[in-house]
Amino acid sequence: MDFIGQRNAENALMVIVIIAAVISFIAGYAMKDFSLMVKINGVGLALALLVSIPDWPIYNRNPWKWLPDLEVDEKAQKKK
Amino acid sequence: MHSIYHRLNTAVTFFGTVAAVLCILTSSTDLLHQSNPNIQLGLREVRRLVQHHGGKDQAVVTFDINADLRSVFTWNTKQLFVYVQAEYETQENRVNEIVLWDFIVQQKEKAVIKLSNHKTKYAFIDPGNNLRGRDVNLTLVWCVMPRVGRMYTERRSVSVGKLPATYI
Repeated sequence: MDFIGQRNAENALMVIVIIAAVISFIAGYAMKDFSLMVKINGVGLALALLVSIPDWPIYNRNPWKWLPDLEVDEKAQKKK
Repeated sequence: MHSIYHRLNTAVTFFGTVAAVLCILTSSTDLLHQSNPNIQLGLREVRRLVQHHGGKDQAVVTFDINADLRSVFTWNTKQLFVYVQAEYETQENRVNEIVLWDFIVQQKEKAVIKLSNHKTKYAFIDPGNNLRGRDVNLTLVWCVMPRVGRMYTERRSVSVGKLPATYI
């Protein structure tokens, strides 16, 4: 992953986990069901892992521009 | 986030932190909960009052209980540990509490306890010979064990009068 991609992957991970947590808390509290909260969090984690862990192509759209290779000046080396 | 292991580590630990925050919020919702259980508790009969070797008194009693503890359950309740204890005061000790019967309720629907003329599970034995003519209170105590958070205990006491003045 390039640098922009890494940032996007980390943001996606955090957003998905937090949204799943908020939804799961509200749903669990409303339905008086603790296991519902656990299940929604599990689904959220799975989705977040799926989006952020593998090296998807969208995370490789901004490859870093490295400087071009230096050409060794052989004549200058021999003189030294 | 440059390698799979780094991303996996970040993901799992972030999820752990978020889960911990959810647990704190969940256990805080217990503070908002109001329960109002309907409880009737009484001593039915004192069958025997005897003295054992070494001067220990024992009372063999039966009790009635009609307790509806369903309103005590929250979404964060794992189980209730319920017990009936006899409380009395002697000259030596101000506090004497003897557990006579206990019960575990793991589901809200089963939290209605109806027992009539029920024998005690555990013996009502005093370490001395203090039970004759003693004023006794029966108390129903329930410990609310949460899924996450702190366990708390509530109780209701009922006075059941005096035990017999002589051994029977």
